[in-house]
Amino acid sequence: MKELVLKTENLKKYFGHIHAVENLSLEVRRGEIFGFLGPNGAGKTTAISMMLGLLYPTSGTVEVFGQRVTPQHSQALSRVGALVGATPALFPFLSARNNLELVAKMYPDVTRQRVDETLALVRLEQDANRPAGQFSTGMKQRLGLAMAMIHKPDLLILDEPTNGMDPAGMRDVRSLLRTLADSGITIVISSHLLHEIELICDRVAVVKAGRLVAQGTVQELVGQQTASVKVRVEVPAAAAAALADLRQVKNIDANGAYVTVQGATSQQIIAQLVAKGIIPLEVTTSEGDLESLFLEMTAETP
Amino acid sequence: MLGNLFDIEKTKLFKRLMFWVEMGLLCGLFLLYYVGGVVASSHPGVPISSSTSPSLTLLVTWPRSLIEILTLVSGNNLGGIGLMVLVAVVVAQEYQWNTISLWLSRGTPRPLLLAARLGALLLAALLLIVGPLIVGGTATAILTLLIQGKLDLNVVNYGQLALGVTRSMIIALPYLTFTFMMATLTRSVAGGMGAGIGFLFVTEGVLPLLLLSVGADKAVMYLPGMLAKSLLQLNAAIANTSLAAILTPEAGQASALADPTVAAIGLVLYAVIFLGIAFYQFQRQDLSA
Repeated sequence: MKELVLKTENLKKYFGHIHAVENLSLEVRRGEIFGFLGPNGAGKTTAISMMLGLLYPTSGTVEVFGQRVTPQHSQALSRVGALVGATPALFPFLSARNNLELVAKMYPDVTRQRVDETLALVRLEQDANRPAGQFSTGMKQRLGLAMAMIHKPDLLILDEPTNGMDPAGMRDVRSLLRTLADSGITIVISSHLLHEIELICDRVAVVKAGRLVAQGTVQELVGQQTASVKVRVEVPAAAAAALADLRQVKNIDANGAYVTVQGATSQQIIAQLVAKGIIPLEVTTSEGDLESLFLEMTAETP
Repeated sequence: MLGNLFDIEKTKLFKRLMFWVEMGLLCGLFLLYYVGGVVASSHPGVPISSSTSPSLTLLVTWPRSLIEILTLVSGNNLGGIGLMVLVAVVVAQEYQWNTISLWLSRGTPRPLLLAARLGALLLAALLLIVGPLIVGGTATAILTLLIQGKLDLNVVNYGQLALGVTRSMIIALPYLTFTFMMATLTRSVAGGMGAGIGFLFVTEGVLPLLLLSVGADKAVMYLPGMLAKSLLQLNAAIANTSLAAILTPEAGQASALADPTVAAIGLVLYAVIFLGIAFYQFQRQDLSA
């Protein structure tokens, strides 16, 4: 089994009565791209801030490369690159190049050539000498990403890295992250953009209201989900009642002109409806995907 | 690592337009004060040496002008206000821009980060004293030449001038560190700036009156402003002329001030207390993005 790069154990963070993170236990191994999913306000940024020694946990532990990390003991983070927060941390009065050169001063082995190379990686070489304060959100994100990876870290922790980017920018970042992971860098990426995560992540964790609700490979999690059949009919209530007689059916939901059914195949559903004298007007089937799983797991309970 | 961090803080500080605007303003004000003063008092067609009054001549010529400049750039004066604004902006904006996380998330120990920032600000304070001293000193050297027809370089005790700069730095410490502490605690430019300037007005104006009204005359001696006065009186020695004796306070006046050594220790002690609070609080702060 590959080396454990990041581990959190029963991590909690309370802000007064608000339980932002509750008993979060995660394990990330070398070379993985690990997706950290959750709706806005689920506690992703708070959890990441604790991983980076910015916040004191109420209880629980964070270990990076086998070393305990707290705001007072953060030596292990020297091998980490991070992009955290809704807007990337950068100096608006400095140019993109100056921002990178400033961070490079922390690392004696980062050369001027590496600065140029990193600017090119995030496609900012044309705007390298413009003040970062004039950049669009997407460009700021790209500069933040460059600042996170300038020193070739062993672990990259990225909080919503594609925030504010256009589709082409997102695709570039996706391909960049894949290349970095192939070169052995471990990546933890938080996002609420599920398609992004599904495309690049090896494993994912889903959090809701600060709690871990699922963790595993994308295939494992999606595999847990049952396929559903959606039927359009003239009288959905009658169709729902007819389908309730099918013993395979697990769940029926009549919504507008549609009835969504889980547990039975489309053939079984069509046959049952026809037998009951109901003509299906349209039938669609959907396999499980990360998005529907995410929506299912993070749905608000009434 | 401290060296790298100091280099980073120094680079950031000197790439800020604000630092150079403050430097320009202070230097410009001294030029305006001295050159403008002489020009305003001169009469058209009359040589400047004849039209300048003896009292103004004394003020705008060496060595008195150098003593005056060091007083004005000191922490509890014009220079101090500029310095407090700079400190509040430099410290608090890092919270607003979330750039503290840039260093801490790379394993930088918090006390080192704060120490490097403090070091850069002390360097800025030194430059904000030396810069106006050079500009004002050069301007008044030219005025001395114009008014007196010669510039005697021997009228200045240069060793004492260097000590004068050191004294101005010591005087700046409580004001700089109080603003530093408040900007760290409040994480706000307005909070740091308001508290710093408020501290200046309270310790220079309100508090001495209050203490005097309750008969605590001795306590007034140990307020930063009075400790600063005690140190500034030593600047009379910058003059290698009879002026030194004139500017040195008489025994009666001097007794209202703390001994200069005690004053220096007192000012440093204020700084140590404020920095202690700032470092302690910064170490405990939650810095979520």
